[in-house]
Amino acid sequence: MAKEIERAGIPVAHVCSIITISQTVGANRIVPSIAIPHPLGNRKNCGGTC
Amino acid sequence: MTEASRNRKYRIVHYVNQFFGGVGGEEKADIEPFTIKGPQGPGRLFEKMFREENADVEIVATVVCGDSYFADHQENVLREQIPVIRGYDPDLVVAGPAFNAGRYGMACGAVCQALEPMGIPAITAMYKENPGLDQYRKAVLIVESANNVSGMEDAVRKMVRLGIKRLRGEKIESPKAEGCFEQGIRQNYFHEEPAYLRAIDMLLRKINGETFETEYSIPFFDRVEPRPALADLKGVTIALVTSGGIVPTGNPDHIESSSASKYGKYPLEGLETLETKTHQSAHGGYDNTYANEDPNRVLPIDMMRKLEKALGFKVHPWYYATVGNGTSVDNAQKFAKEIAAELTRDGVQAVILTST
Repeated sequence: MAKEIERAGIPVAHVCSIITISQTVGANRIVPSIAIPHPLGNRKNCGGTC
Repeated sequence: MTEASRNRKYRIVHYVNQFFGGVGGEEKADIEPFTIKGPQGPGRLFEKMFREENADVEIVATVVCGDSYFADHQENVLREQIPVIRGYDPDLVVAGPAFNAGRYGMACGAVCQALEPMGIPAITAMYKENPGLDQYRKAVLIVESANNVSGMEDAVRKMVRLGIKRLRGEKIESPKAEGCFEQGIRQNYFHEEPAYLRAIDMLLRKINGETFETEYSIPFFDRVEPRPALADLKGVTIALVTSGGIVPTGNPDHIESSSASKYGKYPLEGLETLETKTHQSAHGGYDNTYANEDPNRVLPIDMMRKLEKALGFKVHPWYYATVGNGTSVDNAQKFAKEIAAELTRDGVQAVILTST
C-alpha cells in the first residue's frame, strides 16, 4: 500500500514492526515501530493503566 | 477417454489481429472485427501441427480485429464477438500468438478470459514482457513465446500440444513442462523425498556451483521512485492510513479479520484521541489487547494532534483502514490505488501508514 500511494505521487512513511517485509516489498521510507501489537505505543509507559 | 472421443474431429476458432488476419499493418489497426470462414495466416500452421500431433482438427473460423479497435472498444468487441465465437460451437479457441505486441496480447488475453467461464477452453501465447501476461495470466493458460514472429513455429507447437490436452481433457502438467506461464496455482502432492533432504540437496548444489531449481520462487516486487521529502511541514496536509485494522467500534464495514477484501474510510474531525469505546482493532493477526485498550497505539491520532499544533501541519479529516493479515498483494494494491486517488483529489501531501 505504501508503494502504490507513493506511486500516485504522495510521499509515504511506513511505520511497521517487521521492517524486512516492508523492505522486501519496496517501501521507500520505513520507520521501525515498537512492537507488532502496539507499534506506536510502549505499553510499559502507560502510567499503570495497562 | 474412449477411442471415439479421442479420434473425433475437433472444431477450433482462431482469434488474430489485423496483421495476422491479412488485412494490413498499423495503418489498419482500427479495423472493426470480422470473421473469415476457415483458417487464415498462422491458422494454417495450427492445422498442420495439429495433424502432425495426430489430432484431427478443423479451424472452422478466424475472428480478426484491429489491435487499436479492440483496445478502444474492448467491452463492445467482447459483447459482440464472444457470441459469434460460441456460435461456431468450438471445442477450443486459440488466440495469437501475440509475441511482444502489447495491444494484441491484451486482446488475446481478454478473449480467452471471456470464454473460459463459458466452458470453452481458450489458450494464447505471448512474450514474457507482454503487458497482457500480467493482466491475464491468472485466468488464462498462456504459452511462453519469443518476442517476435521468428518464434511462431515454436509457439504454435507448444499451443498445439497444450491444446490437445485441453481438447481431450488430459491432465495439464506443471507450467514448466507445458511451456506456459505460472498461473499462481499451488497444488499439494506427496513428494518421494522429505523437504529436509531436498533442501540439503539444493544447498549442496548451490555450494558446489551446480545448477539447482527452487521449489518456490520469491515474488518479484518492483520499485517506486521515492517522491521528494517535504521540506517544511507548515500548512501541509498529512493523512493517516493503517493496515492495522483500527475501525470504529462494531466494525461497521465488516472488514474481514484476515484476507481483507475491503477497506474503510472513517472521520477524524474533532477527535483528539481514540478511545476504547469509540474504536477497536478488527485485525485477526495479532493480539488485540493493547490496541483495544488504546487504539492510538496503532493509529496515533493523539500524537498527531500534538504535532499538528507544534509543527503547523494539518491532519486530514479522514483516515483509511484495512486489515493487512493475509491480505493479497492484489487487493492491497487495489485499495491503495483507490485511496491514493481520493487523497490526491483532497490535496493530501503526505501519508503516514502504520502496520502491525
